[in-house]
Amino acid sequence: MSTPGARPAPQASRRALAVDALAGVGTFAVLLLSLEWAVRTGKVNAALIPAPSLVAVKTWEIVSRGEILAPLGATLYLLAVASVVACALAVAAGLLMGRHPALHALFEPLLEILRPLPKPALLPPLMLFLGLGDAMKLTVIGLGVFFPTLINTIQGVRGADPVQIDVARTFGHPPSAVLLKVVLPSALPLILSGMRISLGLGLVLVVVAEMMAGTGGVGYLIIDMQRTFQVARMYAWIMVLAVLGLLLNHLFVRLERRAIHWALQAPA
Amino acid sequence: MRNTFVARLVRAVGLAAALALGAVAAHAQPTKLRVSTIPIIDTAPLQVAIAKGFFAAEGLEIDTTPTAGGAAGLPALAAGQVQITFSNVISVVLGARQGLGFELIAAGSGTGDKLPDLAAIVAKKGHTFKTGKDLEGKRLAVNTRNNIIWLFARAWVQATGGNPDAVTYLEVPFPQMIDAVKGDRVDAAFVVEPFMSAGVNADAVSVVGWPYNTVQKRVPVAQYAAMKDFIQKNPQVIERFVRAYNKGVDWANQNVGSEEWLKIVAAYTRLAPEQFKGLNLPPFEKTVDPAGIDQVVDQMRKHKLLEGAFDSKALLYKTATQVVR
Repeated sequence: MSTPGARPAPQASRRALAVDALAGVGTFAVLLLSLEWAVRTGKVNAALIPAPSLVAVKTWEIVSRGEILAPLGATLYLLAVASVVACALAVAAGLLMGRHPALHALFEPLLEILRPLPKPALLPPLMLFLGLGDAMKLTVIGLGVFFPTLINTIQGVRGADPVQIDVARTFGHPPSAVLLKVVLPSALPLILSGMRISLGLGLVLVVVAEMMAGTGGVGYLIIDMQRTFQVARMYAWIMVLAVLGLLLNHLFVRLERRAIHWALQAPA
Repeated sequence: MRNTFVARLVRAVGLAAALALGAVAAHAQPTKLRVSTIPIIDTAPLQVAIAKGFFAAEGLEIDTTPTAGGAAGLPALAAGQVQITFSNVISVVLGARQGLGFELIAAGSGTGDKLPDLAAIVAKKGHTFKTGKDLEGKRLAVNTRNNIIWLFARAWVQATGGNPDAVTYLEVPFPQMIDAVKGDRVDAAFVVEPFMSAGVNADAVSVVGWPYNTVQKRVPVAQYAAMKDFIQKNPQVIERFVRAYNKGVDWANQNVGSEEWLKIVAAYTRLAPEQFKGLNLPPFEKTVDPAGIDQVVDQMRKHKLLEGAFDSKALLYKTATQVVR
């Protein structure tokens, strides 16, 4: 982001950006090529670290033969259901806790205890309560997704401009309308950035849950390939996850820009 | 210049002295071996050999790392984190096939010609399961997939008239399987001793079937594996390990069910001795029969775990086929 006031000439900044991008891609390419060279000359054990070119071929096989569909579907299903439900609950809870100090006081200590707890630690107890199926996985992913969005929603709601709220009230809006038309929009930038953190955490948790108790899904396949020593395919599925993470983040940023374009505009 | 020359000389002399001292110390100190194990009855001879000091008598110090089983110990072996891994034969075959350089150095566990096996499929007391057909659409616990438990569970379902693809295989570590059955988290479990006896003794579960015996007699279930490189560089260490291990085999076979045996097994499986009293076992072997491995490899082909030829004999280091004296 450019700093207001000291905006550099557009052309120079574009050139600088291009150079930066080139340097980044170059580093990546050099790393890949040196790895390829190290594997091909036998400097590293190809049975443990396959050549990047081989991983690329395996990744292409997975994609072109349609093998990717079912596992990716399973992973995305868990991530989507858990994220949508947990985010909706988190925003609702956040709006209430942000607006009503009494509710906030009631739940804050509980929140502060649960929030910093690394969620994978809950997998073993959740397995006892909910078994090894989707209910357990959705719960642990949902718990991970819930807190960043909740915290940001509370902060966003509390940061709403009191003058705007008063104006809305003066014009006779009922509390529910004030919440939906004034508080929620002004909190939206923070809520969405909380959701972006949640999405990253959700992806981590879906993979961990699938590794611990999977029957399908990309996380399960990664550990399955490791156990059957199909190392190149293991890396191929890791590549799939990397691209998935990148795509999801990219999509979310675009969505964010659309939803809150007014808040992202640089100050004139 | 002078200074650096003197410094180098001092360093070189120091290094030589340290090396010489190290060499002397190496003879006096026991050789340390890290071994990856699974806390099940199959590894009893190893635990016996540790407890009875058979390894110490060979100048070996064994440091064990327990895992949930399956292939978990083999990546540690490939990475050089452990020198010897107890693993089921299927994971070793899969790894060897991918060029990871595993070799079998000693027999581990297997089944005999007649029952009981050291593992069975069990379900909650009062169940009506009799065949693989009955398990279709049900959840069956295996310790890990793509290993011998998973393969023989599938083969048993097929051999008793069921469709192995119609059963859901869930991964549950052996020590938790009985609780998983009791808590209805799974419908049945392919569980290994002593947890099977503990479950039966507690009146929680009863046997549905014996996959090993039904599918194949004398199954070479699991062995001890090491890396080819390590074996070539340390043939003496391997021989000492196998000699001590075989003493453990003899002792375990002669003392099954004795007070001391119960105590040793209880210690590493974290069960109380009375929980698995009356446990029946096939005798532990000292060598591996390549023909048995070939039969398992055939099963692997049938269930699409393996394609093409596999040379079982190349997998066996000499200490696994001839008794070390």
